[in-house]
Order: sequence, then C-alpha cells, then structure tokens
Amino acid sequence: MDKILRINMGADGGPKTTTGSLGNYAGLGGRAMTSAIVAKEVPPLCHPLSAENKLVIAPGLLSGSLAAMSGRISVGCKSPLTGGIKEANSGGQAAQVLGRLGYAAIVLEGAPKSETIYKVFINKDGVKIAADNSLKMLGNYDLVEKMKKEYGDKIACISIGPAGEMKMSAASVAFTDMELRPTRHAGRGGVGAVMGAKGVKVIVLDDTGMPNRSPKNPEKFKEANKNFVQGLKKHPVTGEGLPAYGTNVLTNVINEAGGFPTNNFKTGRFAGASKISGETQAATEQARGGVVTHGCHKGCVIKCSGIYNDKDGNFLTKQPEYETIWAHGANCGIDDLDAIAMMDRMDDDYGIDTIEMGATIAVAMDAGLAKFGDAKAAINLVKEVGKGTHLGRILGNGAAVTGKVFGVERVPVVKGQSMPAYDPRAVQGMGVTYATSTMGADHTAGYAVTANILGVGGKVDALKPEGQIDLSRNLQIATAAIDSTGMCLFIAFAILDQPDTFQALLDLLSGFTGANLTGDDVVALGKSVLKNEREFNFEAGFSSKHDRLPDYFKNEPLPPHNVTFAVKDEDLDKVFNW
Amino acid sequence: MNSSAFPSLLLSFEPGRISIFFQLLENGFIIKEKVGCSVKEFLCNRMFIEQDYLDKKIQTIFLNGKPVDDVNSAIVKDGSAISLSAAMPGLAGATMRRGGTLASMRSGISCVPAETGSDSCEGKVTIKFFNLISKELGPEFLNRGVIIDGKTLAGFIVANKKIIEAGLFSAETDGIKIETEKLFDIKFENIEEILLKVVRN
Repeated sequence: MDKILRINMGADGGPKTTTGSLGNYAGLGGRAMTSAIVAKEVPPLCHPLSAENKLVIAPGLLSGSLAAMSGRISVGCKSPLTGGIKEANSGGQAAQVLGRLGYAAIVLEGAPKSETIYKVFINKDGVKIAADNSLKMLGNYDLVEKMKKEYGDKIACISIGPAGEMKMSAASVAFTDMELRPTRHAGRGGVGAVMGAKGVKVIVLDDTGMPNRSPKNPEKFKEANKNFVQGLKKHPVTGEGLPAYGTNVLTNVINEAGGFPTNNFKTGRFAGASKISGETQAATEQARGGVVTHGCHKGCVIKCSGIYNDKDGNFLTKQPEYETIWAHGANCGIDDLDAIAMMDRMDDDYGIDTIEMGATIAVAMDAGLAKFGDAKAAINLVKEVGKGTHLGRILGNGAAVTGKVFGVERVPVVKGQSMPAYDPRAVQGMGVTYATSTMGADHTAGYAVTANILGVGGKVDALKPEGQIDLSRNLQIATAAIDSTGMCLFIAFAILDQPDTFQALLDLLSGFTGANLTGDDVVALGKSVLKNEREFNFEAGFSSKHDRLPDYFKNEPLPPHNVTFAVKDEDLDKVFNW
Repeated sequence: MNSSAFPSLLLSFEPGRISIFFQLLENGFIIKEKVGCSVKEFLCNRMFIEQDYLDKKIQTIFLNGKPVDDVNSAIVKDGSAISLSAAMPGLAGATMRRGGTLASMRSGISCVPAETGSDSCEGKVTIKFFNLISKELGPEFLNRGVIIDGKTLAGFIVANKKIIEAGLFSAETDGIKIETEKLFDIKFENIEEILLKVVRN
C-alpha cells in the first residue's frame, strides 16, 4: 500500500485519475488516513456536497495481509449530517482487496459538471472510469448483480444506493461481503451523500493476480498472528458470545439494565425485548436454514454475523445487528423480527444508515406520522425514502431534520447525528462519549481499551464519578487508534481482559511494519487522530457548546430507574484535556 | 422448593430440540426458596449453581434490573428478580460486567449494597437466564423443573406448536400421562403458575 489514487470528478473533459506516493501520509491507515487527508485538504467551512469536499476511502494498516480481523475500511469526509469531520467504517471484502491492489487510499475530489454517473474499475492493470447512466437509481442489490455480470464474481464493490444519489444526509456507502452481497455499510454521517455528490455510483475492485501484502518480519508476524487468534478464541465474548448470538446478544442485557431506548427514548425497557433478542434471532435463523455464525470478511475469526432467511427459507438479509434491531425495533415499539429484518434489507438496498433511519422513524412516530409498534407503517416510511418522495426526502435527511420539519422537541441527536442503542441516562459514561465525540453521537467512538489496560497515560479511579470523564477520554483515544489499524473494534474485548492478547496485537503491527510499537505509540496515534478531527471541527464552527446532550436527557427521568444524565458541563469540557 | 404445591407438566422431549424452551428461561421463571441472603448464597446454595461457574462464567448479574458488582453484599428479598448473563460485547456490555474497570460508567443504576439485612423467610424470586447461561444451565434446570406463569406458557405453546409437535415424545399433567396432541388443548392461561419439567427422551 504505497500509493494514493485520486480521482478528480470535475476535471475538464471528464474524470481524471492520478496515482501518487503517500508523501506526508506515509504510515497512516484507516481513520488516521481519512482524518489526516480531510483535515489537511478540505476547507472546514465548505458545503459538504460541494466540489471542495473530498471523500476518502482507506483500508487499515494491516488490510491485505494475512493478519486476522484486519478487514475494516474507513470512509471520511466533511459530513452532510453533522457539518463536522466524519469517519464511518465498515467490514466486507473491500479493505483486503484494496490493500492487495496496493492503494492506501482512494480520494474522490471535485464535482462532475453534469448529472452523469460513473463506475470505476480498479485491477492490477490500473483504473478505468466510465459513464454509465443505466445504473441510475439502482438499489445496491441490483447494482451488484449487474457488476457481477460485467466483471465476474471475483470482485468487491463499494457503492451507493438511491439515497446516496439523492444526496440524503443519512446515506451510507455499501461494501460487499464474502458472498458478494452489499450488506456491510459505512453507515454514519451521510458519507453516501458525498459519494453521490461526486457522481460515483460504484467502485469495482478486482485483485486477481495480486499477492497478499508481505510483513517486514515474517516470523514475528506469523507468531503474533497465531497468539492473537488464540487470544480472541479463548475470550468469552469473542470466542463464545459473539459467534453464538452476534451483537444482538446485547438486547436482553441492556433491556434488563433499563438502558434500552424504547419509543423514541421514552423508557429504558421494552416489553417485547425477548421477541427480538439475539437468542430468539439465532433460534429463528437456525430453524429457517440460515446461518448463525458467519464472518463479514475473509480473515475474521470472531464471526459475529449471520444470514437471516425469510419464513420460506430464502435469503432476506444478513443477520441484523444489535443497533438495527434496536433502531427499527424497540425504539419504534416494534417486536416483529421479520419486519425489522425487512427494513434492514431495505436500508441496505437504498443505501441508508439503519441507526439514523430507525431513530428518524421514531421521531416521525412522535410527530404522529405513524403509531409506535406499527411495523407496516414503519416499512412504508422506509419505502418513502427509497422512492424519494417529498416525505422520503425529509426522512432520509435524518432525525434532526425530521424533528424540525414536524415540530418535535424530543430529538435524540448530538451534532445532528442520532444516538445509538444505549440510553445515556442509564449508562452515563456512554453519554459522555456521545456528547464529546468528534463524530456526533456515536457508540463506537469510545469503545476500546482503557489506560489501565494499556498501562500508559495515567491510572483511572473507576469508583469516582469523574472517572467517567477519564474513561471516555482514554476510550476515545484507543478507539481512534484501533480504527486506524483496520482491525475490527470487537478485538477490544479480548484486549481489555487479556494483556497477552494486547501484546500480540502490538507484535502483529510491529512484525508487519518492522517498527517496534509500544502502548505509548498506540496512544500517540489515537491522540493525533483526535487532534486532527477536533481542529477541523473547531474551524468548521464547533465549540464546547456543541459537546452537549439535548436538555431533556438532563431533565426527564428515564424509567425504570428514573435517572437523568448528571455529568456536569464543565466536566464534559475536560474530556480532551491531555 | 416445595414443587408438589403446583400443578405440573412433564414433557419428554428430543434432546436436539430442547433449546426451544430456553426462551421461557429468558422471559423468567420463578423459584420459591428462602430469601434474605446474598446473591451468591442464593445462586450457589439455593439454586445449586457451582461457585466456580458463578465466578468464571456469570460475569453479568442484575438484581431488580440493577447491575451487581458484589455478589456477597447484594441481598435477595421476596419479590426480587435476578438475571444472569455471560460476558457481553460492546462498551455498554462491558460496563455491565460485575466489578469491571468500566463499572463507574453506569454508577447511576448500579445495585447499592443493602444497609441492613433482610429476614430469612420463604420468598418468591424471578430468575432469568440469558445467552450462554441459558444454553449451559437451561437443560439442567428444565430437567429439575421450573415454575412458569401459566399465561406465558400458554403463549409459548401456541407460538411454537410445530417445533413442540416435532420434538415431543410424551406428556404428563399432574403425574398422569396424556395423549401428546391433547397438550395443545389445555388452557394453561387459566393456571396461575405451573411446574414445567422437560426431560430428554
């Protein structure tokens, strides 16, 4: 991965490609790469859909190698949803394929001078760009089928659906999985709208004839990879819980804790939780001949995904994740797994973020557009988005816009982005991250390992309330670092509990790059990513006043525990003091 | 537990399909036992869960919906609800882990140790088994017998009729054998609580 591909979509005479060296971006991957390029090259005050914005697609540092779990890919830009910097990442096959093709990043620049849409094909021989208006408004599923017919089935696709073409702020970028289905998405922040604004419908990757990337120290790399995999397999979360039930294993537990936002964050417990739980979902998948334990990319050893079949045993969608089950389920009062799976399929096809879509429908329900619990009405609202009706255009621009249009006060967003599936009144530390993340309300922003585990950056007293601030800071730093390696964030569980597995990860990175990485280096990497992102947001007009939850989280007690968000504003302002 | 005080249903079932009953354990079953003791005492000495299993596998415990950090100081009372889970993913999942480094992130809902003890007496406690706990302890508890709310059992049987038909070998109510097809005619919703035993055929 020693080159960056830039495609100027607004060049005279049509799109123009240039391939250059990494320059100052050498040594960066994933989120570190996307945020560095956006921070340096995108004017913070530009319109997110303008020619000045750039869409950066970057595999992780280890993508394309034989390192386990290294198949995440980052998509960065100035976000149309938040107005700040954005990195959304995804699984799927593209990271590995792009890594083997040697690209550390693809940067889409400029804006096309007409309504023409383009497809980009990249293989070992180079890059071809062609106008193809026959692809207009195709759903991701039909689009990928068309690409298969044209380029064969040894490809990986990066694409947008109709929502991206309509430049909706909740539009995602889709990545194909091992079965060449567009089921994995960089969902958050409207990255699909920016791809749509660039006029690129699909990027087709074919790495035929390209070898895996070679480590600098093959022996060290091989040994570390073995230890890393063993660490993941012996841990109860990555070795047992996630493979058996997927991320939706959380539904029962978060519901029991009273932190499962229900009916647009009105209560923390959903009466129908057991009907949509991971346990029920796994049993349903098994009974219908689906798959309960499945990876989203080659080299995944956790295998938290699966395949969800309809009542007749036919493929409907990938196993919906916890966030989707919550967003389209409990948050809308819906306890019908099949209806939720259908909406997951539609979201993937239209190319839209499942979290934002579910949160938006719940706000629409509060506005009286449908009743909580009405699955059929919810499906119809998603259809409006796909069709691009006037109502659909509003909904497709997310919960904040929908709340404004319909006069709803209770809109659970931070910096314009919807909160995910954990009520910050019940899990206040999560609320600290929602409030202060550079990304807007984001559950993955502070996800990984603490300073206590890294053994650097100071010890945290977990028993003091202010410990939440320190924890959130350390979690955000570590998450930014992991997002830059291209590693799946779920490795965090094994690292959290098993210092030898964390060491194996460091050895894996060291063995691959030839550098001798320490915990301090990981922290420094995370801090540098956050520094870039915070500076961009500051220049884009954000201040500490934007690092806040909506007022009602401070004032409205959440049943059943009747708690409010109690972290003080002045403490939130300390999160980035380091 | 004085199980003879309840109407009973004994099902002899195909082992490979017993997991269908785990959703009843996920929804909650009732244990009538002496309360006024610690969570650890209740789980290990009333429910006979091995301490090693409690220490290593049951990493998330809720008492009345509040995450428990110290199983020795949290007290089980009449009417309590205890939920048991294995280690959970995600930041929120990790915060729920008992005594974990992230426990402060949910301090607002954590189970606070009782300042005073509670009298030891017979009480009713609702137990929920989630995820791997259900898979691993479920067969044994179903074999021992669990008390289920009649309405819940009625709904479960209707919703899972096909699978129950496929896995059922024999059935007894209150010790009397019945034709298996008659199982679906019984109005369980009219029974307040019933002792359900599911044994492997």
